Amino acid sequence: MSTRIKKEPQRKTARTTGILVGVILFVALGANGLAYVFLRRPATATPDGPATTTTGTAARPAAPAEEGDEGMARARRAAGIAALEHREYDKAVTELTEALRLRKDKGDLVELLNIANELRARDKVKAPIAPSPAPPTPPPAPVAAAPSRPPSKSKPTRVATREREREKPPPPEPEPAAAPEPVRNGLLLVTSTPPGLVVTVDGKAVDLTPARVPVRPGSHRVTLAQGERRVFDETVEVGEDVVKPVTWEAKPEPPPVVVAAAARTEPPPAPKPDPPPAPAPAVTKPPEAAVTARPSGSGDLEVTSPALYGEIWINDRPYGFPPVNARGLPAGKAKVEVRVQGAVKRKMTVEVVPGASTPVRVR
Amino acid sequence: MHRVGPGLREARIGWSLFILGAFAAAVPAWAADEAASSAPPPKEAEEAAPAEEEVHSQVASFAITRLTDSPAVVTAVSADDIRASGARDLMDVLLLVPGFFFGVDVQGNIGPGFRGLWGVEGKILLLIDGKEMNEQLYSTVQLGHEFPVELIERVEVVRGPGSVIYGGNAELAVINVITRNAQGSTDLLASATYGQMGATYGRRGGVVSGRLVVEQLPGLSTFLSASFSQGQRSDAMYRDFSGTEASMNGASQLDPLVVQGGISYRDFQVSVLYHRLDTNGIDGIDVVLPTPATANFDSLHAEASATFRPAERLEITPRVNLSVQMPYRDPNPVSDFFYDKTFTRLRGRLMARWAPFDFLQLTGGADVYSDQATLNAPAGTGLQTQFNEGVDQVSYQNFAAFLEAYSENPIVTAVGGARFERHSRFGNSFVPRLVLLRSFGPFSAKALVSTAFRAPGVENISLGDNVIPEHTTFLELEAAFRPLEGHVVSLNAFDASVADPIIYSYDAVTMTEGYRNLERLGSRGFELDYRLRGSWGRGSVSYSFYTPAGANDVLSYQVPGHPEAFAGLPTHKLTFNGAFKMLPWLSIDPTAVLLGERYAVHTDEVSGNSVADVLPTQMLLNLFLRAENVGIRGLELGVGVYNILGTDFRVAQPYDGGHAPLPVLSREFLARVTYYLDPTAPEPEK
Repeated sequence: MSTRIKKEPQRKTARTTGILVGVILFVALGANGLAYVFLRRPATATPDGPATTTTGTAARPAAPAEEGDEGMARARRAAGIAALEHREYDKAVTELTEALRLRKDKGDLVELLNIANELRARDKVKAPIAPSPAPPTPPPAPVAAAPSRPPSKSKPTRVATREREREKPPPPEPEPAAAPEPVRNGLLLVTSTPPGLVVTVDGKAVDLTPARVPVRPGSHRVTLAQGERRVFDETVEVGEDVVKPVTWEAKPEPPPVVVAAAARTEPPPAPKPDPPPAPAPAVTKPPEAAVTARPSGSGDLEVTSPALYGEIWINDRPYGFPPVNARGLPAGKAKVEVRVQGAVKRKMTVEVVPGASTPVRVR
Repeated sequence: MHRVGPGLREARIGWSLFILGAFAAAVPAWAADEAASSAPPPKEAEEAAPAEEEVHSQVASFAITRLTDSPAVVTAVSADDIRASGARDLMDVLLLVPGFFFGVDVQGNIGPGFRGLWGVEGKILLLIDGKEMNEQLYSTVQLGHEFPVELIERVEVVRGPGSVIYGGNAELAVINVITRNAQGSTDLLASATYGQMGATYGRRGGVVSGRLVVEQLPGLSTFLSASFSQGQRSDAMYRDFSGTEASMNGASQLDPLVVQGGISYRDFQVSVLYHRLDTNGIDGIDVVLPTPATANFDSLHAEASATFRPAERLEITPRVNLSVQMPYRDPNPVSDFFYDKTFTRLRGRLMARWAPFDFLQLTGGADVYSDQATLNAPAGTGLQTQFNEGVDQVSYQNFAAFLEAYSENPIVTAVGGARFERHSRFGNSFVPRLVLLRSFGPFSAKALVSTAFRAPGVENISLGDNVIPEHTTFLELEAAFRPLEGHVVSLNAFDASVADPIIYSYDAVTMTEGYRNLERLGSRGFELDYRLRGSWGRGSVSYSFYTPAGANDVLSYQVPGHPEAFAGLPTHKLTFNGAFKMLPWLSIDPTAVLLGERYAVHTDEVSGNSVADVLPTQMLLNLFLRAENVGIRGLELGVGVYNILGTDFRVAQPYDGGHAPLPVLSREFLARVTYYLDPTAPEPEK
């Protein structure tokens, strides 16, 4: 009897509570849906939208006056790195030289220019075997232009260190010679803002940023450390004879130089990712996300992770434990993560090729 | 007689609506401010501070969210934080979590209290890899040496109700321990620990654990872990309320044994956990026992689960659990504490998650279990009694259905859900929840209105007077501020009101125990937490405060002359923990805990009145030194001193139950050697 007396008010209040919470839930969800429809687009379009995907080789207008040379230098630097990715070394030299001229704080520009010159020289040696796809460009600035700029204060020590390291066979693979090779290595081009971060590839410290690291084709785990702190950890895919840029910036840059990049009007690139389409020259975002126009269509990813058992997430959606065959992904860049106990242990950006299935092997 | 009438509950719900309305009304203003400013959106902010490991979890919702976006107040402690702090068991971990403290209960067992409310019996849920560790005869959880910290990868503590997700044992809080399992890469862990108290060893034991990811058969991973340890809770003198003393040296045994194993193939996982904790103690009810009484806790938990994705935005997860438990077991038939019963639960869950839009996740499912409790030996000896009205075996069935919607958008993220349960013995329970979350620049805020319940356990039903589930209504607000990279300050305020609390009582004359629903109970307060992290290490400071919410009608929880506190649990708690890197491989980790006054309530033998002994404000100070990669990569050495000041540290019983304060956390010198081999790990940074 006493039980019944106790339960009656409880049931009544539970019912009332349920109705009230149901009403709140309904209103909240309805308001959320409306808010999503009306507010999400403007909220994300301006600062949070994906890095500019427009491309165009002629996109080099003058920066707004208030941005000054510094903004233009950043744009030139980004364009130089993008050109490096696409093996347009002459153009890279031009852009980086121009950036060097415009920028008061030289940062890593001198080293980047050295890398560009080095790659250009190597490319010219290899030219009869593998002609560069880069179109003719205006005569590059002479290499001597770099030393004509006052070097940064930290340069001598760092450069000396880098040179010493380069004298040793750079791990994990020796630098490819100019002669034809049985396996054509890829190249990791690792840059950061600020420069001078320790670059680790597949667990081995190899250089300081900016760094060019020859690696075998395949996936490689790249980490950047700023002192004791690991600031970047991603697995990247490097194709044969491909320059793969890896860029990290300490903080979001100030609003980018407004560059009236022409919208790309060509049809989407061919399914083969290499050679990639022409680079986007003038964005302050890392070139990784900026250089390629988003192709239309969809493709598949076959993700394997033979040495790490964790849940695969693609574009923030779970796909289960590996091996995973993710179908119908939108073509273009896709974020692939391996989460172990909910913690992101591997993170990489891969290209989904329209109409094709791309294998991704996570180390 | 004051009952929580419908009017009072309506008023409480009205306040809830008011708070939520105010929160929702304020949000558009924040949104407008943000839209007008050029501050970087959250996504870019995350990219600017990648040093903090990004963790996703389902501990506080069915939807998978980042821990910081969980629809609850959540504290996460990583394996590295645990190793660095020198934590020896879950007690050490929970001591630093705002709101938590401990109390002593029958047969010398220690359990958790939270925000002033005694939570050992069915109110705080302990999960290990999703397996519910509360024994289900009384629904209690035992703390102290309970689980090897070396096997822990993360502890997630939901500081608030979890009944919508977990059901009737998650009324006040949820402690989710994630241990080494099949997820990860091939590795090996071995560890040995020795701790010395003044007169005897505090602990001695070891852990071995290995994981094999079979590269030849992609998607296959397996693991096996084993741990054995012996220990003592304290070597101090126990003193009952009449002044009789006895040494706990050799009379406060805590011997845990843990074996875990599992195998996973793609989305199918099977795992087994065997857990045993052998204990003894000398603190009887109102007396010091002449010989230690045994209470062993045996349990075997098995789980199989799989995930299917029949469509791109649909995920279906069936899960089956089997638990066999023998709690409080004293197998000696001539002992006054003889108790030998087995509890078995077979449980099946089916959960479907559907994301029809990018901003909406809907989760629903069913949860069915069947319980059976059996006497392993005839009743009539010691504490062995029959179930209910004189039967040797009882069985119950429980059906639950749950639903949750997680909706994100730029104005406010709304999480609404509810759980309905029907138990074959005590009927229906319905618990809804609504949470609003919002981030704006470096600020974030959460507002939560939730109900939760405690389901009576098997013995609660048997010994009870028609007990029904107790229900709690929670109001919570949390604000967090991230002024700089690596700095987080959070402040939360709570109000908890328990209706029909299930209260234990013991009659020392007739030696009978019983349960009944009493009137009401409640607490309110706030918790402040500041965490910072940098290349130098990390640190955290927290302060917790509660006060009875003016609705405490449970006499045995009250403190005579001190209406501002509940028995046993401190109203003030201040903690500090740091890990300072002296060298890249060497860190020093101090821990300090300052506890306000606590009250041990008991009945005066002469006057028959309830009186309170004051346990003074006390400081606990620990220091741990940790050296990594000593000589060879993966070899770690740790030495620590616990309770450096030698404080006479005791925990009281959080109700008038005849148990005098029990010595715990005595001074201990500890050394630990750990070797971790991970062939795939990158070289340590120089």
